[in-house]
Parts: sequence; C-alpha cells; structure tokens
Amino acid sequence: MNVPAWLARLFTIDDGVVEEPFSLLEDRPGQAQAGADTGAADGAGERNAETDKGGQGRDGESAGGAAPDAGDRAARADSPGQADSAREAGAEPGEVEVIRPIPLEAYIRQSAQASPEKSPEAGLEDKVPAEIGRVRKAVEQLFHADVNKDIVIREFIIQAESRGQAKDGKPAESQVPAEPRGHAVAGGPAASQEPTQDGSPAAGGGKKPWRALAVFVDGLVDKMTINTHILQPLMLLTAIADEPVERRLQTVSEALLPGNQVTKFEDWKDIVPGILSGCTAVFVDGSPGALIVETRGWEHRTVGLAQTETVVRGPHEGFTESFRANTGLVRAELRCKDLITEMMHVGRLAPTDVALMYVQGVVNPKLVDEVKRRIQAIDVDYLPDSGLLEQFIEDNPRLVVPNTLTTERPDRIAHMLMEGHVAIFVGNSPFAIAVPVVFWQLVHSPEDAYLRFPFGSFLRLLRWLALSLALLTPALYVSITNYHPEMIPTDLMLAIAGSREQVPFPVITEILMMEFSIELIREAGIRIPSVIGPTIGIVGALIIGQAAVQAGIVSPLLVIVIAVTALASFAIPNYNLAFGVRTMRFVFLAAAAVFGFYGLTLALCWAAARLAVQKSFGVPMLSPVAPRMDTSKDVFLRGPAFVMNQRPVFLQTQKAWREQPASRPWSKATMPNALRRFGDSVRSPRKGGKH
Amino acid sequence: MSNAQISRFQLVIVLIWSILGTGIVTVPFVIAQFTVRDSWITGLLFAAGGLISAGVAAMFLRALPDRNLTSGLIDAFGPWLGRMFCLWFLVWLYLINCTVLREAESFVSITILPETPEYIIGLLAMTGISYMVYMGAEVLVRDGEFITPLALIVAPLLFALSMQHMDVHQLMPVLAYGWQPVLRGAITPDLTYALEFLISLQFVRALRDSQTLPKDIITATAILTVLLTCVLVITTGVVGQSTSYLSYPVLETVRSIRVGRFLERLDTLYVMGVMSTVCIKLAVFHYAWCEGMKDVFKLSSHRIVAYSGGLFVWAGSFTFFRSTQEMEHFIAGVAPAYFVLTLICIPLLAATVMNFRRRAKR
Repeated sequence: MNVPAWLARLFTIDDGVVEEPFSLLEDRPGQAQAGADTGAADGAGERNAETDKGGQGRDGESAGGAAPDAGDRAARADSPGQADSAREAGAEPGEVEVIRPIPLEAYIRQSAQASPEKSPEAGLEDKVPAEIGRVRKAVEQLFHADVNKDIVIREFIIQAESRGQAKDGKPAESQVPAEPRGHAVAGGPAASQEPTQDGSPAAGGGKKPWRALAVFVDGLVDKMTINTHILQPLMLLTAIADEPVERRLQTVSEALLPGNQVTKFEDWKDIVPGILSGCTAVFVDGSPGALIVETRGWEHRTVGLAQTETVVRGPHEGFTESFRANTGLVRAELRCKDLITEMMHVGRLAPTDVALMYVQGVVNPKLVDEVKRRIQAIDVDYLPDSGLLEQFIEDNPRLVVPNTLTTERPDRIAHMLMEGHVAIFVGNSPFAIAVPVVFWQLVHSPEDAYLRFPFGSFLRLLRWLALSLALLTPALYVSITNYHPEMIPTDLMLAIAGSREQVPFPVITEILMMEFSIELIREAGIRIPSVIGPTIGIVGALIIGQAAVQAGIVSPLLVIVIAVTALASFAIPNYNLAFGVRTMRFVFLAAAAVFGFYGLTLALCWAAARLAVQKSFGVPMLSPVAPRMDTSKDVFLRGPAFVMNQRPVFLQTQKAWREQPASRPWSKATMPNALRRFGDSVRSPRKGGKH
Repeated sequence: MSNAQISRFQLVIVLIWSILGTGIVTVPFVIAQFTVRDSWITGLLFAAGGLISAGVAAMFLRALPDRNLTSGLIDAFGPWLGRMFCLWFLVWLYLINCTVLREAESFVSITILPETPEYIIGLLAMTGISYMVYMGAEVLVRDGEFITPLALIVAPLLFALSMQHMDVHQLMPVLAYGWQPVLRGAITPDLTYALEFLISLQFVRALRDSQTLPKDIITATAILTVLLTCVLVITTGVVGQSTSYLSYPVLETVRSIRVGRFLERLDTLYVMGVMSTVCIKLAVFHYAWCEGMKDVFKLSSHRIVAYSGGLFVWAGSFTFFRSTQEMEHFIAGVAPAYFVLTLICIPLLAATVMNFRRRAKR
C-alpha cells in the first residue's frame, strides 16, 4: 500500500535538521561522503525536493548513513586493516559484514599500533644539526612556522675576519656576503634586507661571514634586549678573528653576547622550552647547538597588593603573574644561601615551569623527595595554575579542608620555608603552595606574627570564633528553634516565636532560602563589574534585609543569623578553608534539621574523626594537638616571639631550634623563665645544628 | 591497626574518656542507691579498682609481653581452648557494647529527644562509631585528644557555675550509717567501671611501649578518682538527697546552673558533651571487639567486621535490654561479677598458665 507523501512527511524526521554542524571528532569517511551527498542533494535544488528525498536522498542515506555506522562497527573490528575493509564495505550496503568482538585491551593496543602518526615531539629527541639551513628547516617544522606567526626566525650574518685583518678594523663593504644578509620569517625587522652574495663562508678574502639565526617568540621577549644585546653586537660590532667551525658558538658566547645568562645546548629538547619561555636561541652555522640567551620580557601585572590576604601591619606586596618575579620576591625576603630553588617541568604539550623552594639543612629531605615524586608523577598536556597542581599532589582532594596552603604573600612563604615547609611555584600563577599544612595553620594570618603576641592571640581567638560561627550558626538556630527551645531564655524564645508568626515556611526552608540568596550575592559580586558591584551588594542586602522581612518570607532574627554567618565566613583568612566551611555548613544544617543537637554532635564527631586520620604530606592534619606534640605555642594562640624557639615538631626538620632558648638574655622579665625551662645551658650561645 | 602507634598520653586520655563517658551518667545514680552523703568516699574508692586493673595488666604483660588479650589467650591456652576463652571475652565485649549503646540511647531520648525513636538514635550513633572504628585506632585516640582541650575549657566552667548552688551541709554528717553502704555503693564503680581499664589490653600491639601500660592505667585512675570525687561532691552538694530518686543526677546539677536571666538550661550542651565521650567509649570497645574477631577468626583486617559488627551491636542493644530498667539491673546486679570473671580471672589464668608452661619447658 502506498502511503501518501504528505502523510509520510508527518511521520518522518528530517535527519538534516539534527545533524551536528560541527564536531571535534575526526571526520569519518562516511560522514564526509554523506556531507557530499547532502551537498549534492542541495545542489540539485529544490525543484524536485521530493524526488531528492525519495531517490537521491535515500541514496545519500544509504551511502552516507550506512557508511558511518559501518565505520563505527569497523572501529571495533579485529584489526585496523579489517576496519578499513569494513569501511570500504560500508559503501556497498548489500554485503553483510561479520565482525567479531575483541577484548577492550586488545582493541586499544591494535588502535595504538594502527595509528603510528608521528608525534610532534619526535623531533625534540634529535640533536641540533650543524648546517644552518637544516637548522632553519627544523625550527620551522618544530614551531609550525608556516602558520605560526609569532615565532620569529631572524637570519643574519656575523662578520668574522681573518687573523691580522681584524686589527685594522676596516671591513671591506664589497666583501660582505650577500646571501641572506637578513631575513625574518615572521615580520622580523630585517625582512626587507636583500641578499647580495651567495653567502659562502669563505667568500671574501679577509672576511669570514658566519651565517646565524636568532629564534624567539614575539610577545614573550624584550625586543630591546634582542636588538641591543644580541643583534647589534653580532651584526655591527663584530670584529673578531675567524675561528674553527666547532669553536664558533663558544666564541660568540664568550666574546660577542653581552647577555647576563647565556647557556649552550645541543638538543632540541633543551632549546625548544628555552625559546618558549621567552629566551632567544642563537644558532651559528657550522656549530651543532644553540645559545639560549635570557631575553624574557613579556607583559605582566606589576607586583601589587595581596588581594586575598591583606594585612595592616606587615608587607603588603603579593605574588604576581610572573614566575621569576615570584621566586625573586621570596629571595628578596629570605636572603639565605641555603635557599634552594629546584626547577621542574610539568606538561607534555606545553610544559609549565614548576619551582620547588626549600631551605637546605632545615627541611626534612624526605619531604622534598615526596613532593618531587608527586609532581613528577603528573602527566598532563598542560598545567595552567597552582590550583590544578594542588589537586594532583594533595593527599585527599575530596576532603573539604585543604591539604595544602596556598598563599599570595612572599613573606608568608619565606616564614614557612624557614619553618621547614616546601614551597611550590607553578608557572605564572600568583599563588604559591606550601606543604605540608596542619589544620591550625589555615586559620593563621601573617599579621599574627607581626603584632605583639596578646593582639595576635586575640585575633586568632576572634578567627576561631568566626570559624565556629560560620560553620554552626544556622545549624544551631535550627536546632534550638526546632528541638531545644528550652535552651534559650523564655523572653527570647517568645520573641523568636513572635517574629516567626507571620512566616509561612519551616525554619529550615527559611534558612536555605536565605543562605541561597547570600551565596548568590557572593558569587554575583565577584562577576559583577566593579563599577556597579557595591550597588548590587546594597541592593542584595536591602532585598534580604527589608523586603524579605516585610513580605513575611523570613523572620527578622533569621536575617541577623545569616548576616552574622556571612560576616564570620569572611573573617576566615584562608580562601580554600572558607570554601570548605561554606559547604560543610549545609551538612551541619541538614544534621541539625533532622536530629537537632544530637545530629550536630554526631556530625562534629564524624568531622573530627575524618580530620584526625587525614594527613598532609605525612603530617597529621590535627597535629600538634592530635597527636599531641611538644612544640612552640603557635596553634590556637600566638606565643611571644621570644619563646617560639623551636620549629614545628611535626615537620621533623633537621634543625629543631630556630632561635636561642633565651633570646632576651638582658631581660629580667623573661630570663628567669628561660632558665627555669632550659637550665643553665641557655647562657651559652646556640650551636649550629640540633640543639 | 598494625601501623598505628599510640602514645602514652593518648592512651591515658582515651582511657579517661572511655570510663567517664558513661561513668558520669551512671555512677552517681548507682552509688545513690546505697549512699548519698558519703558518695564522695565511694568516689575515692574508685582508685582501688583502678589499682586492681593495673595489677592484672602488669601480670598479664609480664607473662605475655606485646600480646593483646585475645592473641595472648590463644597463645596461653592453645588454639582451641584459647579461642573458647576468646569467644567468652568477645561475647562479654559485645554485651558491654550493647549496654553502653542502650545507655546512650536512653540518655539522649529521655533528656533531649523525647519524640525521636530510640532505635533511630542508636542507629545514627552506631553508624558514626563504626565509621571511626573502620578508620582505625589512630582516629579513636586522636578524637580523644581533640576533645580534651575543649573539655578542659568547658568542664571547669560547669563545675564553677554549679558551685553557686552547692550546700556543703548536704555532705554532713560523714559516715553516719557506717562503711557498709559506702562499700556496697563502691562495688559497681570499682568492679565494673574501674575494670574497664583492662580493655587497654586489646590495644597492646598498637602501643609504642606496652610495658608502660600499667603505669598509664594508674595515671588514668588517679585522674579519674579526682574527677569522680569532685563530680560526686558537687552533685550531692547541689541536688542533695534527691539524688537517690534521679536517673541522671549530674544532669540535674547542670540544669541548676543559672546566671542572670540569660545563661541557663545548659543541660543540652552537657548531654552533647557526654555523647561525644560516649562515642569515644563505644568506638574503643567496638574496636577492641573487631580486633578480637580478627585474632580469633584470623581475619585480614578489623575493618571487615567494623560496619556489620556495628549493626550487630545496634540490634543487640534492643534485643537484650527491652527497657532501661533491664539495663540498669544488668549494670548494678550482673555486670560486677561478669566483669570480675572476664577481666580478672581469665587474664590472670592465662598469665598463670603461660608461666606454668614456661617452667614446664625448662
């Protein structure tokens, strides 16, 4: 029975409508064919649309629609060869292809063997050729210079003279070799220079021109440095005697390049990262190898205020988006010859510099080895920021409490390094990571140390209170109002009941609505342009504070509860911990909503148990409280600077003491205490090493 | 637990919380059944029970050094008879776990969550405790350490605040009815709670230095004796003769705290504090049970029975004790003899047999 076309159309879905216009997946042959067929169908015009649908369109479907399917099946074929045959067979719909399933491991192995496409890094394993033409080709290939327009390959001539002629200082212009006198591939300044000679090294009688190549990445380098410290001396100020071919690079390095850091490498794997990190590679014809000249000079934010860890007393500068500036800031703080900066690279396609900083002789060597081991285990194409590295190396990334400490303050890193921690810098991230960390340090602020100890202790107590409030206030409110109203005075209880009289929602709904609003304002406040940000903040507060109460959606007391909670959460000095508190607050809220104080207590026990077993790089997160260790008073409170004699015990440092047991020997106020604690030994000066 | 290393400090702390967890709830009530005015003398006698425990631990460890109780029993009595004794010990441990959980359920239900079914309260507690046990011995002892600073802040505050209603005359006259009620009242604290110190024999393998265990028990005994005596003095001084009618006399003492018109009804906070210590106690006992199961049935890890055992304890808490009265009867009437037999006779017998076998070998 023939179905009328109009009726068939009603029940037919045009696949062209849902066809993906773009896919990151590789084009399959069948798809390409289908596309061609569709194009043909389109090309046929609409004059005979129905015919196309029914005839050519169907052909297209059979050729194009069946082919991808066959391709998919072929992908699971026994071997790539079979896959190809299956793909070909897909063009002939009449044939039935029998495909046997194979284990996944075997399939992966076969696929890997079937696609022996040359890795782009394969060339990196090679040595640098001596001949400059080959060098140029290799560079162009490595950096895809035909399409890559910010890679500059600057070809030039170094004028060398025969011995004896160099002294007169009169190079004959006519003998200047003229072949590529200067040629920039990507808009280099010498692109207009035309070749004048064949460039043969032995062309002139007294002149011995050396062809050379400078390669750098436009935007990463300081062009002035390249012009004045590389090109100018090599091209214009050259007056040296000719050298044997194999010594040319050495001569250039020793006598012609006034750069402060010049290193010779012979392998592409050393040279390419150098170029990509803003250095300039100088190749000289005849010498296998290159000189990597320090010319880094990309644009970055200047060193400014620490954005998330501001203090009143103490240094104000923070790290910036420059790797060397960051390590330099720490060096500037910590002028210690034992401060080690080890370099590592993470990332296969785009290696990111990772620096490990520690103080030799203080830090536990096992800790350094462990940090290195974890970083070396990272195998990614690209590592953009310290936040990602943190997730790769921390003990338990699923824990809401951070296992590492991230900071943007050089002074804090310097202080932690001297305590025996290890600092990690990742690429141009403005945050450095310090490991290991204990829970208590997350509530510390650098300012605690700069202030006198009573004030530092006071601030810490305030922060502990803020942490508790941020974590527990909504849960306590729910518990008290729902389960334990007897806990609060009768007057207050009546006031709460009165304020909630008009509110139609249960307390937990009220709180969740308000918490959601606050979280929304916080999140929006980050993204809103700074010009209208404060306005939105005020509007948000008005909405929550006034309108919501007036509308009878929430009670006035709850607004205070939520406001206090939000305020307290801002007092937590560590951004990651603040996030943990924000999320855990909802867990405690749920526990309190279901079981009141009992649920809250069990949730706290569970959290304590989880934290008690957690370690950060081998250090229990709750030490030195659990397990208890005798250490300086720097946990809940801040001890006086002159009694913080010892480094944290949990770090197991090589040197336990960081200051004299009696650091105020002239003081009648403190010396007796020191004598009581340490005996007469405090009168003698502290020896190096372990006390 | 093989890798866990418990320090002496941690052991003392965890022993204190293990005894005090339910001790502070039940001991004043049990003593008040015999004497009220002289209850503080009964508290002082707690030291005797602690010293007995220390002595038993010393003898056991001398005969079977570096062995926990279950593995020591197997070594001393041989694989079959030893396992029979171990099973006796494990059944005892299981019953004690059920008792403690039942105590906790009743306590929470009566004091702060009267509407919530007790089995839900117990299930919730046992889930958290099983998790702690699953995580290992380190978690238990560190949890104990963690709450110690908080307790050191809160407990003296509660003591000080409750002192305002204290009437010293409630403690007079001393020994008006002679020593008999005092000694009868001391039976449960001395033979039940003080012998619970011997649960530490199940942790011997995890201790840094097992030979110091008896000393640590003595330290914990001294601290607990002082604490219990203070609690009993204040409770008697504040609540008076009514103590004998109350299920939770210390709770009443805390309830009496009132400063101005705002600071009052701190009993909920007290209940939460007690619950956190009960959690530690249950975790310690449940862990000991899991370790015993591991030794007896040659399990690869205590974790295998951590959750299932927790469920077992939860079920037992209702099956064995249908009502609070049954549980109180067990604690006051049955437990002392059961404790003496299990925690004194069996370890001493094992130590004696081991010594005899050594001599026989010579």
